[in-house]
Amino acid sequence: MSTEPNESVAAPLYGLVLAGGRSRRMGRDKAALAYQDGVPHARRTADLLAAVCERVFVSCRADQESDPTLAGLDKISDHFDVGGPLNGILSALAAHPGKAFLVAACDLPFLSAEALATLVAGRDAAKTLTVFENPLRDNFLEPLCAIYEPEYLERARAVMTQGLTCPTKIANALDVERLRPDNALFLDNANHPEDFEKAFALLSGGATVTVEYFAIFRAQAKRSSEEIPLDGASLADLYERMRVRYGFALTRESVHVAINDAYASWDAVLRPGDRLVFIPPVSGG
Amino acid sequence: MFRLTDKPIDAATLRAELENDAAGASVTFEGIVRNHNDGRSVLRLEYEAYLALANNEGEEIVRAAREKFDILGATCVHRTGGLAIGDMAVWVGVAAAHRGEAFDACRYIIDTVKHRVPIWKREFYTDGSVEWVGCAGCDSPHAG
Repeated sequence: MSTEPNESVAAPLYGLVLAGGRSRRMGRDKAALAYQDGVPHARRTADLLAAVCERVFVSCRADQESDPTLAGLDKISDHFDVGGPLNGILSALAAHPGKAFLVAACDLPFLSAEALATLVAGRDAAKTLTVFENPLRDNFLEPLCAIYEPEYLERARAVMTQGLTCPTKIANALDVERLRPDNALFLDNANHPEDFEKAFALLSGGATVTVEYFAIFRAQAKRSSEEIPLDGASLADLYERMRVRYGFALTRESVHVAINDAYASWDAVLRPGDRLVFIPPVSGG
Repeated sequence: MFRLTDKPIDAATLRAELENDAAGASVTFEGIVRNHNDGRSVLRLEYEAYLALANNEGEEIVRAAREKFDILGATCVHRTGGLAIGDMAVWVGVAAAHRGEAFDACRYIIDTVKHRVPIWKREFYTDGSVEWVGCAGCDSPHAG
């Protein structure tokens, strides 16, 4: 039997966005960060995968099922007794036997359609895994932007009995197709607030929203409006940021919010150019 | 009709505009600046409004009143800027065939305006202190 890659036997390709991380170093949910147009990066990653995959799922924790950032996306929650991203990958393969998964972490700000096209074109379905090596990191394998064939599930679990739970170490122990990217920037993940700031500055194209202040907020902020970068922060996060910056005494529970001259819910998502107003308790009449 | 104005409210003209031969009832409410609030002696006050949202919300409240109650007409005018004791801060007028609907609609309009329309009152007290009403770190939302 030939071991040459054969288009006719390659398993159908599904997509999986890894969004279940705790974002401890970032201090904000990495899935919700927005680098372009205010779109949470987990959603942007899902859109990129949708262009090259039959279906796309998000791997998330059970407590993210109702997260507005991931609303409307198909979810797969963890089913194995192992920590980290490996659980999400194994859970997806177990939930959809016979399907291969193009896996991408939600914290790759520079992930592009071109990078994914390179990965799909370089796929060798006869190998367990098609994965990039990173020339910027001593050619380490980058298993969080890779294609996992259905056989990975059993082969990885066999390797795991030797105590390995890190996807990179497991990849090193398996028969993988290694791809070398021309430009490896898209493999850089953003883990720290400084990573985010740098990537945001390069990608956002200067998207901003205007915040206007009235009454006690105008008095305390000593300004009636300002432009702020649109970086995916939730309205609650933005209020907290302004509350700390200007010393607002009012807690969010007593404040309402308006977007473009209409009351809005705290769950609303900002778009570039929106005008945002925090409304302190009103006292007309 | 809802309107914000930085000029004194002319109640007689507003009332005349609501006159209607089919109306057997006219109910009006006048909100007046008083000389005390929460046990403190008030000298004067200022109203600040978020004009675009206040107009949107005010129009919506009057429209909703005409839908909820069987009335012939409704008007609400609210002041902005500086006001002295005895000045009229807000005027509401409702014309209806019968008094019940007119009273109910007038009450609905003033209560909802106080609850929703983004207007803020800044009180100046006789002891020289100044305060944004309802905003002193309190957590009772939209205290009217």
